[in-house]
Amino acid sequence: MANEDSEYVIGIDLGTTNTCVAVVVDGEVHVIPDEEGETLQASLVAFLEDGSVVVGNGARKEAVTDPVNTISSAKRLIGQAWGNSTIKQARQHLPYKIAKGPNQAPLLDVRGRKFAVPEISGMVLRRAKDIASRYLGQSVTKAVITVPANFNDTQRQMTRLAGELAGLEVLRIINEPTAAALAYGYGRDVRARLVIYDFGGGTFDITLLDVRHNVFEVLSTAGDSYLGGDDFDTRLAQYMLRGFEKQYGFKIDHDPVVRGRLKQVGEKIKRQLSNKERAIVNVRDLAVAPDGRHCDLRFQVDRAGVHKRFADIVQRTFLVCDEALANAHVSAADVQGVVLVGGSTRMPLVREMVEQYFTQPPLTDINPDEVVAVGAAIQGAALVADPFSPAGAHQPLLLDVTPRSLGVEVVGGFYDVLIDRNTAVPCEQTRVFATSQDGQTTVRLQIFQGESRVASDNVKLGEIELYNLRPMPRGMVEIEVTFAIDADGIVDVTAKDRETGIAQQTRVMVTAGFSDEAVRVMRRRNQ
Amino acid sequence: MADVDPPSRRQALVAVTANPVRQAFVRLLQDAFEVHAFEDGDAAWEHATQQPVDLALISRELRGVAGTVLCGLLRQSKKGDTLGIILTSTRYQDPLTAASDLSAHGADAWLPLPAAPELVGTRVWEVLARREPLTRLGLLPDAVAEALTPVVRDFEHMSYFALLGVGEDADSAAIQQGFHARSLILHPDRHGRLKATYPFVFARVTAAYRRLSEAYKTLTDAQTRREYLLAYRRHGAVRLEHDGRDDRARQEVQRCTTDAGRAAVLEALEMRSLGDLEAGLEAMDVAFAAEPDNPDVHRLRGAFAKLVSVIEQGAL
Repeated sequence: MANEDSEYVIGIDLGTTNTCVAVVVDGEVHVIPDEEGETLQASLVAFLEDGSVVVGNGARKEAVTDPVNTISSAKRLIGQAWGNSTIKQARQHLPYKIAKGPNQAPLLDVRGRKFAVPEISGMVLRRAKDIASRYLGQSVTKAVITVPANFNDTQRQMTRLAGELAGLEVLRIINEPTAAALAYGYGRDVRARLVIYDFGGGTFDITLLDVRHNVFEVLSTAGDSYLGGDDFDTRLAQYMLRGFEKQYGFKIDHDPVVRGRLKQVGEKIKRQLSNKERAIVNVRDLAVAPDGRHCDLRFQVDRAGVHKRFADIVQRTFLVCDEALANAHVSAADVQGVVLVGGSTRMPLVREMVEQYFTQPPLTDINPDEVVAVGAAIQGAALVADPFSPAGAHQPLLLDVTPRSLGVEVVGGFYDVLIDRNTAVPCEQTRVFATSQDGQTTVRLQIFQGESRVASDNVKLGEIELYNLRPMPRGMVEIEVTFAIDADGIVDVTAKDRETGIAQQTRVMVTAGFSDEAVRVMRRRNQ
Repeated sequence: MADVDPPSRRQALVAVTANPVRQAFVRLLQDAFEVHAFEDGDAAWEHATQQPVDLALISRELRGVAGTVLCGLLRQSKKGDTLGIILTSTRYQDPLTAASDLSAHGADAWLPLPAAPELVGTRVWEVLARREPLTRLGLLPDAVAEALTPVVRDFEHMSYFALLGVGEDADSAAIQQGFHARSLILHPDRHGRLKATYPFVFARVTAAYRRLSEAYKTLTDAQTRREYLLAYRRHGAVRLEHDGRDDRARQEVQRCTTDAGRAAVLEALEMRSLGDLEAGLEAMDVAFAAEPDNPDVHRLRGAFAKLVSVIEQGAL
């Protein structure tokens, strides 16, 4: 059902490793292929020596031959603050240079140019936009973009920015597991309590939903943003490095090209073992020995042996499942369906362990690589449809939640929760803050997202400064601050002087965010 | 930024004695409204009784019938609920008095003068967004518009139960069903057309939905539902206000293992906050009877007993 001006809303799954785009045309969902017929695009941006930039599948070669100048896994960095553990780990494992930028934002340093992470993700999104435009035969401007359910406010804002830099009007930032649920329920009249087990390239999310006809209500969600299919690849690569060392007697751990190659091989092996019991590792000319020999790496791996080494990684997902179920006061046996999402769920080991945990075989009749983009496209169509018209009556309604508690730092470094996690969005909470000193004209609030009682253990979103307060004796000026979270999961803060009712001027400094001027520069650069 | 015109022209009543102010309002409103201006309160009221009015802009310093009295008359009149009233004045008024004036006389907003035209516009559309029946917009099916109108108008004063459309004894299944049913008509995602053409109304719908979300969150958690029922039945509170003491109270209540114990401890802490320590001690006795082996209940009861004895001895 096309809307008045026949404008399509594309759904984009911006993954750590791969990006997929889909669209609803006349009630049917199409997963969009590129010129080569591929529905998955690598989330890669390669900067070549001649100054040109290659985005997507065409950059796969460069990712192996020139990893220092090819940006991969940008999703792991988006919205992260310099100095936190993710960036520290990334700087150790990722082959390209990550530098410190203003306001704690990381910058990607390639061929002498510095890019903000949203700019790189914006290039990947622009490629998806172009693919969709070509397929539909018209210019596409509206999109719904997905993020892991566990993404915090800054990560969501930066993803939104990436979409805008790609020339898209981002109608909604939607959680990946919820999108998968939408895709699963579309066209079927579902009435069940579902779990979405989303094990992708970089993150793991679990979302528990109650689906009643066309209402999709999220009950709880939890995730681990440092847990993904990448971890299997890395572990296999480590295994291969040790095997190489044993075979040839010298280490090659420090060479980023070697590590990049082995990780790609690891991914290939992992996929092969999902379909076969055995796989052969055959890496030609992996490294040069000190005496000049060219060394190949060849050996055989079997599924049982490899899966034994993976079990503990998969087990970590069930700790997260415990958390999500406990938050909703639901037990694993109460769940009526388990939907698998994400390439890693193709592994037989994962399916076995999921069946054990939920005491039922998981539902596997959907394509785990495309289901998120499909769901995003469905949500896009729902947002522009008229649900009260007879044609639009079946449109789904998504009732999602905020995944992390929102709070402020209080005296003693403790954390005062304003909005609990798993609260339905849009939502808000109002608190009154008073001055503590005579004549105080500014009040500063440190905003965090997380569950720890100690403020600094949570993720700092930023600082809010209420300024130009009326100079009065302490405690006499009361400011009502309203913290609102919108349907994207993005935080907005407004304040007003309680007595006069006049809106209070606020200044927001987002940690790892960009100033308005920096964003203007980025927009111009990415035109 | 104004809301688009609905099918028929809106009627505005301007009751301001001062000539330049009245004329300024007429100029500002005449594009979007059919304006009826009066410098006298009696004439304004006379007009209102004969012709229905959608918006009234009334000065406190009105000649004839006083501004605040005219407010009240309009609000009590037959179509008073669907009429937006803005009280205005060129004289300074203390903000707290202004606020109490509004609720006492039924006005929707206070507009201190001088005010920039944009502010006047904003106030007008905000007030109309609240009061105007949604059926007038011609955008939603009548059934949906009629169901939405009272919620959009009064959600700030509705109890969580009323918002969800359930009774006070509703079980969790009924509460969830109510939440789903209300979400289907109130969630901002369902109102893309409203967002594009009537942004002020959309803002109100969004605000109402946030309150609905709060209601659902509060009533689905056993602990917060208990606290809400207490506040609602005792003080007529429609909203669960956050209080620093709530967290400590919540911790005490969470240390109980039986429902009876929890209810009794909650009662005791409520009594303490009202200053009735003896009633608090009685409630703690009930808690102790329900959970004689709970060391935290024992400790808390001891604390109450000590406070009561100290007061009896006149030491406080």
